[in-house]
Amino acid sequence: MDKKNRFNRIVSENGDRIQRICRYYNSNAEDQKDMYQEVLVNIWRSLDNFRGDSALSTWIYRIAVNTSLSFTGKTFKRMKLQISADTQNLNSILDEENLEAKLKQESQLNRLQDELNLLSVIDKTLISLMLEGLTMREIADIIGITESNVRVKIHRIKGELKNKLKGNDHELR
Amino acid sequence: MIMNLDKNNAAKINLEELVSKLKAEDTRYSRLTRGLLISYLILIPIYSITILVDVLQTGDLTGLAESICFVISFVIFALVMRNLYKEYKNVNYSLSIIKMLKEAAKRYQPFRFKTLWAILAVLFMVTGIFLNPSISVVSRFIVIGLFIVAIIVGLTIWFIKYKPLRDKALILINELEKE
Repeated sequence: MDKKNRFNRIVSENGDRIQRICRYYNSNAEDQKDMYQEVLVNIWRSLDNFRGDSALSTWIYRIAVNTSLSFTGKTFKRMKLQISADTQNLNSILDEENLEAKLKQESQLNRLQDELNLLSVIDKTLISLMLEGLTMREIADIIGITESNVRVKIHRIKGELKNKLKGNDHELR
Repeated sequence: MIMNLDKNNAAKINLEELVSKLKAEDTRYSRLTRGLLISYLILIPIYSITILVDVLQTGDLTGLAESICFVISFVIFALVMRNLYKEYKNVNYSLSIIKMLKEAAKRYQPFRFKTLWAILAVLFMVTGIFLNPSISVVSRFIVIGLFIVAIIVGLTIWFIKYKPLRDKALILINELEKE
């Protein structure tokens, strides 16, 4: 299969994945489109280096996240993590089964989004990969740190988020 | 809350165009580097032969030394530029995030091993200029002044454009590596 066909196949099979990463990092439709295009360009450029050492999905996530981090360098401080009630694996953030139902109330969702946007860029990246339903092993592969380090970081983020949301609940009551 | 990217249609429409542009760029890049290499492979021997013929006819050894300095300087510059161009062109986005950040931090250092090669090329050029008796003392110092200005401009550009990128990469690396 030549490069063009391989590229077309990868994009058609992973387009949704790339779009979601672009959405996580940009609220503006134009920026999402620009980033999507940038990710495709980088997939094309990296295609010759793909040796199949890691899963294709891991490889795609690496390119998408690396591009997003470089892309958002321009608007680093304004980087937003966009989530919605129908975002996949939303309940994995706070480990609550009825979280999705709760968050359908817009104010709760906005609060979670505000808290997520206060996280550092790295923490936002970890959360975005978690929202994709990736395992700790896969996240560790993408980021390049140990699985235990990923676990520690995610545990800390979840703890902080829970405390903040609980604190906000008390303030409202 | 999520903006609809609606890529399923848009991406399919633009994909062909994008691939054509990328392929065209790859071809252009490959032609450019090949063209540059061929030019150097042709020009350097021609220039060297011309120098040799000139030395054999005139016996001017200072002229020979001056020309050799210029040739060495051009060759080093060409190789450094080619290497830098390849490095920036072929940034590998499929590395793990921490490796990618480390590569970026290395790439955006103000002084690297490659910079030493560029300085060596400048030194050869300055030597060539000083060996040329037809260049006046004032002109020699003007050339040296221009080199110093170029270094200052380069460092200013690095400070404004690349230092923030390097600082950002180092902050992210530090954050990733701490438990």
